[in-house]
Amino acid sequence: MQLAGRVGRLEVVQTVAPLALRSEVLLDRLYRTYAPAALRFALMLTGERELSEDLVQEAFVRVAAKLDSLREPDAFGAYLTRAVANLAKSHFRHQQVVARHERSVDASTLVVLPAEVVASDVLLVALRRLPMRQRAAIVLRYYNDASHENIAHTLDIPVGTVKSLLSRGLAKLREGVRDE
Amino acid sequence: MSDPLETRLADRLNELGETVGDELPPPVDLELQVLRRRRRTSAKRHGAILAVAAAILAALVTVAAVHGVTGHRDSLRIATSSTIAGPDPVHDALQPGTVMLSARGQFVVSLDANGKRNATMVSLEYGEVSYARATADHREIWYLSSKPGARACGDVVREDVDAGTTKIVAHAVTFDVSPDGSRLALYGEGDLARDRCEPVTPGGPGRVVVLDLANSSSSGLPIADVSSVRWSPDGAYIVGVSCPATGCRVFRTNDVPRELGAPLTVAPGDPAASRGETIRSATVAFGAGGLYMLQATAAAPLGSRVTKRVDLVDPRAGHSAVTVFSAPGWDVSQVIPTSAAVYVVAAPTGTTDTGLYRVIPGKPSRLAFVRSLPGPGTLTPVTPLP
Repeated sequence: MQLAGRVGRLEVVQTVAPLALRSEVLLDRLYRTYAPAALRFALMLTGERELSEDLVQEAFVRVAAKLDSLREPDAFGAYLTRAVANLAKSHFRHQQVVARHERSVDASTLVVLPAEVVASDVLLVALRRLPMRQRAAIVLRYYNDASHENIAHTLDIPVGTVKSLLSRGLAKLREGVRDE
Repeated sequence: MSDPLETRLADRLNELGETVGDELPPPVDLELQVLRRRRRTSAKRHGAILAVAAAILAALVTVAAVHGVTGHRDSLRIATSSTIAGPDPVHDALQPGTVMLSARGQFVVSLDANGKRNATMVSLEYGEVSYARATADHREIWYLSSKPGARACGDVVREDVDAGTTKIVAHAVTFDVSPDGSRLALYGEGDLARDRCEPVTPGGPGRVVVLDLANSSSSGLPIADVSSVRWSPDGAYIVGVSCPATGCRVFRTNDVPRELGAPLTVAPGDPAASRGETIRSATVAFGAGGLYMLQATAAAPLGSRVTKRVDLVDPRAGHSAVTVFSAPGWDVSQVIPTSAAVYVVAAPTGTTDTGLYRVIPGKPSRLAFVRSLPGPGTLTPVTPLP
């Protein structure tokens, strides 16, 4: 276990961002600070590098555009993470709608397998089959070592919901691994 | 994290995370993208503000056009105040599209214009519902519940639709609630105003009692063999059907006084047009344009062929009736004049194929099939919210 090295990773993501970021230099710095962690998060949710980069860029633009009106501007990382999770959810929901209309796409192809990691890793494949919120909660918990409270803050959901998401997600993962 | 699965999961995620380096250069047009996004968000916000302002202005102009035009015809006066409050949102406690209620067995359900159930409004554990009516604001449903097969007094129950709470308010053989829910018209024997209802025997004495729910004051009208009572849409008077052995008649009370206490009186005349026929049975329901009366008539003497007919009358004016539907070969049992259409529950004579039919305006001998209703219960129209 290399958890010790990752302890506080989320806190690093949530370090105070400079306010009144309007210049190119400041936006650049903000991106370089927060985008890598957001990309890792997106990659774990989607399994696709290109898609993840698109999601992170779009999420960053959205959050940065509202920086002046954010309730907690110093929690830029948390807002970015939440935006990535929401965009990923929207993306897959849109894919499902498209597939439903086309009627030619097999439902199994909606589960996108990770390109960089061995696709045969049953655990990651099972993770990709979870609902997006469960996926997001599990990644934040087991990759970022985030506390329940931090996950709740990041995803803007109650702590009880976080516990429920984690519990159900793990149960499904166990089931998925056992079935494989 | 002693769970092997959790440990393995953390390891896998860590491996995946390591595929992303710590350096991620921003896109070259990042600032431009953020700027565009900011402009788009700002434009959306301004658009929303303008839309709200336009809606408020339109509402004010509409209100002024309806209520505020005074004095010169050419001038439009808008009442002003120091604060402008938006119009209260109209909350409809009933399902959207509800045009009638069906009271049947243990349930009261709301039906849409296609006769399809869109919500179950009342579900009883005991007893059966024989009549249900929604108040004009749709916040309350009043119904009569009684033991199966009993001809005795039933419970007059008020249900708060939003809260889902019910209360037995009175007892009666038959009843109706005023459109604003402030008064009841009860029929039975005994001291109905003090919740002492006695069953009415055929030909025996009975009373229609109007009970004011705010102060428990009441007025009564002695009348026998009443089968139904209905409040007028403006809550001013009551129309009822009395069916002694000699034949039915439709009666209308004079306006119910604001202060109750004095006896009610029956207005002269019979809203049911007399054509030298005997009315064997009748039901009445208020709808757009007046009172719809479904009558089973037979030329005297009794025993002649019965004809079912739906007439529309103005009970106040006593005008001769306009026949809305009349055709041989149909056994019509109910008329439901709703805001969507005038419906009847009918079956071809000699069959049990009961269905809901729509009356075709201007064609009193034709019906349009809506859907089959093997057990329609008692249907009552629901007035749409203003």
